[in-house]
Amino acid sequence: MKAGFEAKARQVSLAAVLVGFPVLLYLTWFVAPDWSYQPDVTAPLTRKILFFHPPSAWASFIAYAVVFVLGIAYLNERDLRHDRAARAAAEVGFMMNSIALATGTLWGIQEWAKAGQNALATVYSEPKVLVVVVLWLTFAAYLLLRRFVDGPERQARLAAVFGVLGFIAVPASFLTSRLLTTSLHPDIAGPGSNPDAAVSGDVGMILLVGFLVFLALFVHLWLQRLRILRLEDETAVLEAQETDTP
Amino acid sequence: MNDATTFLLAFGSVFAGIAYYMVWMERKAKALEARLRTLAAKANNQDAPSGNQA
Repeated sequence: MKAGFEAKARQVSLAAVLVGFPVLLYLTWFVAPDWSYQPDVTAPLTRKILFFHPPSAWASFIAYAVVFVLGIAYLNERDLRHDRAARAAAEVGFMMNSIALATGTLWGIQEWAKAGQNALATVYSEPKVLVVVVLWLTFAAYLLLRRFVDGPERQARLAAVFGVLGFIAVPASFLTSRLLTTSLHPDIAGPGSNPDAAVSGDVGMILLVGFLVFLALFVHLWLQRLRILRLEDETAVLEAQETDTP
Repeated sequence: MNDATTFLLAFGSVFAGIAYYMVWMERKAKALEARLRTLAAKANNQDAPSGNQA
């Protein structure tokens, strides 16, 4: 990617994030339905997490898809630039995955746990949540591997394999709640979504805005992380030259 | 934890976390660019022939 285009894309995505988040907050507060009047909704305020939880999860899945594609590209071409881009995408994807997991946990505690039940145990015995935890742990291991494996080629090769295999949990997470009828997790969009949970109207529109904002956030953070990794490499080269110079 | 506390905790931590990460990355990139400029200037000075050595 050309440096000029990359800088432009970084600025445009930053502008989209800075405009998009206030718009998303406005929509969440003033346009989204007021669920406090619905008797079956136990936590109407917490339900507004809906506009941040799925978008951050979807953005993390896109980030992991980028890691998957770049991992295959690295294994084919052994070009360290692919590895650097994959590493940047994995870090940002992991951050978004963490947001999705944390907000989902808080939401699940409020909505799923019944009186007398251990709320955390209820959330973490849900199959879809478990698959997402596996995904999160896989990419935590991917990032740790980056710290503890020596040699850039060996590190890149192992990371690429890890990233490609780790991506399997993404479609698994999509399928889990659709295939298991005991799943508590609602499927709000896409093929196989629950008819009573499928979103439409204002809620669907706000979710789409949320997804676009998180997508812009991913693009911005990815390019920014890529810029930092490139600068670190260039600095390391010059520092090595400085050390070698008598 | 009640509904309002959960909501505030979720929104506060998401926004604070994202804002912190964005600011941290921008600062880190700026610091690295400054370091790179210093190192490049040093390397250029070492490469350039000195006028006093004759």
